[in-house]
Amino acid sequence: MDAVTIFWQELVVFKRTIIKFISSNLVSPLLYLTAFGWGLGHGLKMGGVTYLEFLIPGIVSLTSMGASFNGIATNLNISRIYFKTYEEVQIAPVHPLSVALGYVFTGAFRGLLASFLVLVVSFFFKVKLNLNIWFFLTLFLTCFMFSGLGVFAAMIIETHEDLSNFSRFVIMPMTFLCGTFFTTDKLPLGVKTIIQSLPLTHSSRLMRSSLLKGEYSLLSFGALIIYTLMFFILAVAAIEKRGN
Amino acid sequence: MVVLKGITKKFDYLTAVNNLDLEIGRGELFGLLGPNGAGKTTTIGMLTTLIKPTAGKIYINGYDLAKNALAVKREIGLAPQHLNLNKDLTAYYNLYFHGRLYKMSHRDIHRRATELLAYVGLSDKANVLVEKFSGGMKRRLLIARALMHRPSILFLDEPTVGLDPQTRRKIWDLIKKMHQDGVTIILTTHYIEEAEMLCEKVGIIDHGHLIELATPDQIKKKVGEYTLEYFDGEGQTIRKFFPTRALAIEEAKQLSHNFEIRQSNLEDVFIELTGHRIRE
Repeated sequence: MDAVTIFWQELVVFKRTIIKFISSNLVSPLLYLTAFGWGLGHGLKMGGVTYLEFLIPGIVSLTSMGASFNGIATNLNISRIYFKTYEEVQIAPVHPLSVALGYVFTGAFRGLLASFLVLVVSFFFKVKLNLNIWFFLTLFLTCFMFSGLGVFAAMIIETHEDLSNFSRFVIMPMTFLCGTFFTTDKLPLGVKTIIQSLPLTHSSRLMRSSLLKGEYSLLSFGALIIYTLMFFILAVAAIEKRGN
Repeated sequence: MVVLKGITKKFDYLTAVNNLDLEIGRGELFGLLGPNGAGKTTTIGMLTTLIKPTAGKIYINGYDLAKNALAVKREIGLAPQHLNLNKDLTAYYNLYFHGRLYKMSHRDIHRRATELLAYVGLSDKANVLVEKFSGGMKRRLLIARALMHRPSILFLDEPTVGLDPQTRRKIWDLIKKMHQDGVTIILTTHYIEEAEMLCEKVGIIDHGHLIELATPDQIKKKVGEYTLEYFDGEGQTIRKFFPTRALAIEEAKQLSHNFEIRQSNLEDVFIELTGHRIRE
C-alpha cells in the first residue's frame, strides 16, 4: 500500500514532465536507428538477419536500461541530496521494502514507457518484430532490474557528480558492449566471458531471440532473475541503512 | 515525553553533540537555543530517526527509538529547516501524500487537510503548486504537513529562519496556537527573542554541549535580571549583571562612559556562559 503511495506520487509529478520525457527519450533511439539502421542497416547482415533487424532489440534493451536507471537514480538522488524531499519518506512509518518497491516501480515504469516509444519508432522502419509474452517479460525484468540498481546507486552515492560517474563507468560501457550493436561471439575469450556475464547482455540476447525468432534462453532468463533480485535486495538494504 | 540519555553524535573527528541529557514533558514548548553549528539540527535529526546517534538512548512516549523506530515515527512530526515540500505538487497534494504515508483514510485525509489549510491560513491556496509559494507560505504548509497525521510531538527546526518580521510573528502565533491545542513542541532557534517569546523551557547548546537548562526567567535570574552595558576606554563592550535595577544604577553612578541599564536577555546569558555571541 505504501509502495503504491510512493509510486502514485511520483506518477503525479511525472505527468508534469511527460512531454519532456518523451521527446528526450526519442532522440537517442532515433539517432541510432537512422545512423546505424538506415545508414548501415540495409547493406549489412548480422546473426543471419539484416543489421536493422539485429539492431532494434539491442536499442530496446539499452533504452530500457538507461531510462529505468536514470529515471529513478537521478530523481531520487536529487530528492535526497538537493531538495531533501526524501526526508519525508525517511521519517514516515514505512517499511524499507515498500519504499524500495515504490521507487523501483517508478523507474521501471519510465523504462517501459521509453522502450515502447522505441518499438513505436521501429515500426516506421518497417522491421517485422515478433512481439510475444517472452519479450514483454524480458522487458519488464530489465526495467525492474536496472531501476533497482538505480535506487541502490541513488541511496549510496553522496554527490550528483559521483552519480554521473557511476553512470559513466557502469551504464555507459554496458550500453555499447553488451551485444546491443554487435554480436559478442567474435570477441576475444576473456573479454567475451566478462561481457557475457553482464546483465544487459542477457537482456539483449533474450530480447533479440524472442523478437526475431520467438525463442528463449532459460539460462539468460535465470541470470536476469538473479540480477533483478540482487539489485532489489541491495536497494532495500541501502534504504534501510538510510533510516527507514 | 521525550528523554535523552547521554546522546552523542560524532561525524569522523567532529563531535556534533556531546553526552546530551534532556527531559521534555508532555505538552511542553521547549526550545533548543544556540548558534549555527551548535548541534541543534543534529539533535533534532537524532530525535526524528534521520540520524543514528553514536552513543546514548532516546525514549519518545516510552518507546526506545533504537528498538522501535516505527512506533516513534507515528508519534512525531517534523517541520525541517529546509523547505522540503514537493514543489511539483499542489499544497493539497503535499498534505494528501503525507497522509497516505501515515495510512490515513481518503476521507480522513480530506477532512484533516481542509482543516489544516484553514489553520495555517492557506485554504485559498489549496490547489496552487507549491513552486509558486512564498517562503512564509511554504513554512506554514510545512507545519501543516507535519501536523497532518496528528503527532503528539512536533519538531520545528529553525521555524522562522529567513522570514521577514511580519511573517515571523504569524509563525509565532501559529506555534502558540498549536501549543494551546496540547501539542508538545520542540523547536530549535538561534533567535533570542523567539526563544524568550515562545518557550516555557530553554536548553542553551554550544559546541554540542548543553550548557544551561531552565525556564527563560530562571536562566536570566542566574546571571542577574538587569544588565549594565557600557563601552570601556578601549571600545570594548562591558556587561555587568545585577539582581535589581537599583544595584545596577548604583554601579553606573561610578562610570564616566555612556551606559545602558536594561533587563537581561538570553543572549546576555549566552555571552556570560560561553564568552561569545550567539550570532558569531
